[in-house]
Amino acid sequence: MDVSFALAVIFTGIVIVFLVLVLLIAIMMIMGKLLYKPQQPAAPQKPDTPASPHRAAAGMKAAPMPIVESGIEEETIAVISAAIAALTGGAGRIASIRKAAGRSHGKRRAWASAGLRENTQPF
Amino acid sequence: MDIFLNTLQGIAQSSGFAALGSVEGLKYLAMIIIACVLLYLAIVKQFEPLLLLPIAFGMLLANIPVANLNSHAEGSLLYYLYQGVKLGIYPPLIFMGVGAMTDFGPLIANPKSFILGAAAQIGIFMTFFGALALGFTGPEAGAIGIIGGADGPTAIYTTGKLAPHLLGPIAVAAYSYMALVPVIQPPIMKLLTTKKERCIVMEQLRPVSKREKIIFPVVVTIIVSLIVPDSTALIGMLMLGNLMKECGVVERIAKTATNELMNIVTILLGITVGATATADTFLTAQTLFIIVLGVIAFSFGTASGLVFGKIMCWATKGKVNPLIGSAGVSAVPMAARVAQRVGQKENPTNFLLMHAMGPNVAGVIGSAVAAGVLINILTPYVK
Repeated sequence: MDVSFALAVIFTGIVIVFLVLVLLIAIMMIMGKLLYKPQQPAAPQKPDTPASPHRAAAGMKAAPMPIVESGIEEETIAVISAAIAALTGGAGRIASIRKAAGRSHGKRRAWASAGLRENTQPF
Repeated sequence: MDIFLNTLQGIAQSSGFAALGSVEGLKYLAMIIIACVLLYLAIVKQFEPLLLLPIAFGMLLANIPVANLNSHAEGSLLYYLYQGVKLGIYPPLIFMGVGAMTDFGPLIANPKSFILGAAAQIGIFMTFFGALALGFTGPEAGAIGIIGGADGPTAIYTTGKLAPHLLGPIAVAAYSYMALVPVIQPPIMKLLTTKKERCIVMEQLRPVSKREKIIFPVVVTIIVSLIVPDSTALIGMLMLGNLMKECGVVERIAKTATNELMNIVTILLGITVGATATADTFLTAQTLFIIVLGVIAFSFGTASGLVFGKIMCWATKGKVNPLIGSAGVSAVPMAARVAQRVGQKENPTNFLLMHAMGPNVAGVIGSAVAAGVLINILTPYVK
């Protein structure tokens, strides 16, 4: 075996592979900087006139509290409310929140399955 | 009556059964048994069945005595189909289908993953050295080393260019080890990482715009092809397939590349590569060496990816889980799934799959670049 030949091939090969891929890293980073604009969360709009406690109370009356099954945590209610509000642009109203029918042992929850499916679908 | 008996005798003497009785025939018998074992692995154990099944059946056909149906038997069906391998047509077409099925989003979101894809290619060059030490010629050693890229079409393409007589054993080794990724990798991953490292939860990747996904294949093709022109066929087809998927205006041909074309080429590639494995070329000490060197190549690739993963973990002060480095050895998406599984075993809430897909698809590009480099350097030594 010609050791110098072997080492030359190994050295050249590794250097070129790294060189090409490092170059691609640099280009991808520049491309990301130029093309990716992270979405800024919308700044809360200042109301023209401060809402009076009376109006706020009236607003609360307009959105009746949903009927929530006992045992459901407040955090869960908040998450569901936020999801519905995001999906419907704030126009949706929640009438009631109840637990889904029991799942069989060993199976994922519907939300977990949906999230997993969405993340892994391309692969 | 005599004519009838003479005819029967003639048929018996010229049949394959008569040929199996000789010493040469025993070699054919051994190859038929090996082909049946591979069929068993493909069907029952489901080891990369889409490729191992046609490969095994091609091997079976090539070793039926007297039938003379192998990829080198001029005039036979498989000889003509084999020209697609010999001329380097099938592997790039498969790459086009792979590109049309691959989402490079995780890699674009985290381009540093390219480093892990490059690191895992070190196994290719280490194995190249090992093969030279065992007495293989330079081109043969290059073809054996590419098994470490864990990329079937790349291995077949490189072997077709550098050492076509080794196509059978290298294809069998490459696809068998790709199927064994979930068995080979986890012990190495556990050996080279600490429990604390395996538990690291990585930050969510940023979303990638459609424009970035469309520009990516064009940029990669230009850059890689200009630096390593010998890998243009592989990278070009891979990126063409991806561009067809991402641009969204040629949905019909993107679907054809992923389904019909890919399936047809897979059948032709598998059966003709399998049919190169005749008793004379397969039942040799070289095959045994290739099988051993193949597993060494895989292990080195996994280990070097993990070591670079650890370096990145250290450099980012614990933001990178080193397990994703093991996915740099291509084998898409199996290697990424293994990283996910091993990580989730330590921390059930951890979800590493998307992070591991970055190095995984970077490994495909890395192994194609490595193949181009080896073809460029070693082609003048092909006899």
